[in-house]
Amino acid sequence: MPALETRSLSKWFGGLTAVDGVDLDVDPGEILGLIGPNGAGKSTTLGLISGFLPPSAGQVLLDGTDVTGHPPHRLASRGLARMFQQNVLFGSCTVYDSVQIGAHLQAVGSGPRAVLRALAGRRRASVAHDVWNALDFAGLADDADTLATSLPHGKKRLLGLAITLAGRPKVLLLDEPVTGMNADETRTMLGIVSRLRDERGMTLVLVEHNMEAVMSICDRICVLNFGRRIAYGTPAEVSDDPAVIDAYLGVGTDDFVNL
Amino acid sequence: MSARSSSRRLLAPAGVIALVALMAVAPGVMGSAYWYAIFTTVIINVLLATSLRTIFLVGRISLGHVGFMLVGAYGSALLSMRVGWPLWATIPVAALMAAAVALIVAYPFLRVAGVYFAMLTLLAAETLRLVAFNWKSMTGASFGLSGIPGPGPLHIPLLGAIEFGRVDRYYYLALLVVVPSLLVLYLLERSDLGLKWRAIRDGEPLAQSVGVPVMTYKMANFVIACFFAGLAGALYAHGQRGLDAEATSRFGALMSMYLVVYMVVGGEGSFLGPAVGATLLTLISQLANSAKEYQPIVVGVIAILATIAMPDGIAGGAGRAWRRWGPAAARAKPREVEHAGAGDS
Amino acid sequence: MDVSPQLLWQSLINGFALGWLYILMALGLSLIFGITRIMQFAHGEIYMVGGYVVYLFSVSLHLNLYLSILLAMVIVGAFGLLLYYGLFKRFSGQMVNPIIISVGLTLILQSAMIVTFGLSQRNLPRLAQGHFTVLGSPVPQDRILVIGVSFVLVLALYVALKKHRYGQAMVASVQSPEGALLQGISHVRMGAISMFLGSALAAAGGGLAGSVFQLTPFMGNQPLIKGLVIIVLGGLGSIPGVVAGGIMLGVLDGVMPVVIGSGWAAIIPLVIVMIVLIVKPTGLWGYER
Repeated sequence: MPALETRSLSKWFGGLTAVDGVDLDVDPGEILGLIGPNGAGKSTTLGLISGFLPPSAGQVLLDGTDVTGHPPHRLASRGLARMFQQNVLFGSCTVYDSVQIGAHLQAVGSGPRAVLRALAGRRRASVAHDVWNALDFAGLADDADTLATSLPHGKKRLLGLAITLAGRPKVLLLDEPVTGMNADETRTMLGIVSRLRDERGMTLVLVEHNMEAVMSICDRICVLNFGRRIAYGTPAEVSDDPAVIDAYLGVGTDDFVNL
Repeated sequence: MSARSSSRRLLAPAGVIALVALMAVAPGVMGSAYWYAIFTTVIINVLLATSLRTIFLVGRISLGHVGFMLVGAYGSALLSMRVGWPLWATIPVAALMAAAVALIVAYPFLRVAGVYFAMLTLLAAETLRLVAFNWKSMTGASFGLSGIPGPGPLHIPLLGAIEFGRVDRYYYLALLVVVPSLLVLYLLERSDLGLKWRAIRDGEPLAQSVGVPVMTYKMANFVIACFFAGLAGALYAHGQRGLDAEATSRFGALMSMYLVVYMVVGGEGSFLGPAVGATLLTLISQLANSAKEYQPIVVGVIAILATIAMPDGIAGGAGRAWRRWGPAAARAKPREVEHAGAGDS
Repeated sequence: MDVSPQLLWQSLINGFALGWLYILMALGLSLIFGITRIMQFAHGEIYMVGGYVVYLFSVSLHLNLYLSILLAMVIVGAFGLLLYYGLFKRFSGQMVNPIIISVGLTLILQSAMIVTFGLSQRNLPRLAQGHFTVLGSPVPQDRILVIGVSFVLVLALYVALKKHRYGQAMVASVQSPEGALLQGISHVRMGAISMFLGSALAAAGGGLAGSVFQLTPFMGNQPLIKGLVIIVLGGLGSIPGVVAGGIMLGVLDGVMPVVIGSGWAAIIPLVIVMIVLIVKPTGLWGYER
């Protein structure tokens, strides 16, 4: 049973088809890379899977259950989490408080009684444990009292990750996690991502432009072009695929040359 | 709660009790009964401005807060006049009526972006006012509603009856409603719910993706805030003994804007900010009664200057100054002082 | 439903004319917001001030009404420019601060007019006396002229936006700010032009309203709200949409109070807006960045 599956997932806006019948299946504990030239529909696909965009057609299945069209917070209660492309953070909070918000589901649960619990200020005692766990994993334990906005870029991305980790997701979507990072920061982030798979058995889907990163840690790669899936296999298979080479050479070779 | 909560400093309980005591005796100190009426208006405005700020916690500005005040005011007045209920029943029920109206409009209004939300609340308030204005059979239309009963006497066994009908006693009744209301709003803000509200304000997509049902929380926020607006309205109605829904009245669009000014001038970043702004500006406007026509001009100028010069308002600016140059900063290392200065948003 | 056809006809014409006044308001708001991302909540006061400026020219100085309206458009347009450069420009794209500024302006302008002119209503000279006869019923000429003048103004705006280089840049800017920069026209300048045009249109509306209806310091409240409703219904950046929405809303506002009473009629815009927002709020967050 795949941890995450999409069947003929499609999205069109008026006359423009952004995602065209994309099929994905991600095994539990696998890291899937989602790549493609600019405008291929990678971010849109991520938005469809994470519930921020309603699909025009197709299905999304989480652990075998149809979750098509579910809003993000319901997907979260099913174990799906997303790390965002831009640094969306809780600006006025400290690192600790930010991650604590991320532990929302652990703190308060879901369903109608959750609101009452939140009102009463009752928080499950295990929350602090989850928060420190996430902070340690992301290497931010020393920065717990720092304001989120005063972190350097690399640490902000790590904070974004820590926030999602606090919710103990089973499937994690990462939108360009290492974009804008230097070599050191990239290595740190990639290390954490691999550890999430190895130590926690998490399933991850990664949208990235950095080819080296993608090739190094992904178990399988799905290549999109013009909203359609043009290749799907191991890094070795995909880098030899003529359709993939063609897609990249047609637009710009920089991404591809990094192989 | 983390070791050091970045959000707001805990209001010292002793200071708060002192403040409440001050408010309780202040009108008496001033001398004439006139002051009791003024202070009643002050604390009603404080409740309105503070509940307006609650909406601001989720990052929205309501330009129609007086519309829900209107529902509470007319609701309580009509329930007591037409149905004959005592005040201790009509006031909370009227507040619930305001909350119910808020619930009806909450879903469509909160779906859209902040700017549109603001204009929609304006629309809602004006609509409510026009309904009250035009519904002749119920509300006496342009002549307004008069003869609203004051509170009846409260009978305490062995001690006799306490009259609340007089203007000074009414002030204490109002205080008895407003202070616990403010306490509730404060506790809400510091609760997990308040934290999630601010998370929604600062990073709604992220909040959604960690499982916060954003629409539910936003609706709860709006309904709760409007409940207290209705409560304030009911207090207003039984204090004034008369209501009207003219454009120039307490329920006109202009008054909603005044509330926003109270909030901003006092400082929307802190819980007591709106209270400070409401108190100061209400007192000024009540006292400078001679130049009544010029007041809105002065208030408007103050609002504009406050926005340009002091982004955090008076309370916020004072808070910042305290953190920067106060005793704690003197003891802290340079880096922390830097953080303290940059700490507001 | 015992409403005479005569009355119904009158209210229909009234509503039509009212609708065009709303269109003038809504276009200005839409233009300003579309380009500067600032919701000018004091726009209703600009409309009102425009009406009083026309009063000054036409009643106090005895100038021709149409000339007065033209002069008012220029003066109020310039005032709008002043407001933009002095107050609004620095808060472009924000939500909270422009609201406070608008609120402050509303307070200042409304009170300034009350202080200067008093609370009682005033009237401007009629655009025209007399009636046309259409299908056997009398139609007041001034209502028709309101429609005509407004139509001309809107048409002029439409042509300017479509043909003129600046206009095209402004339209492009509503869709995406970067596109307009490619045309070489600065964002600030486009914002200024939008404030000028928007305020001028509002002033014309105020002048026309003062002639056909009356001038009061509060006359700007309802048109502002109606303008906002039209933007919700007709969408941003679409002149035909605003025109359609404006006429529809104006007719409803003219006819409904007669048919179902002013109390119930007041609720209609709110209900319509709520239904639209629940069913199809597109374009309302599509433009939020």
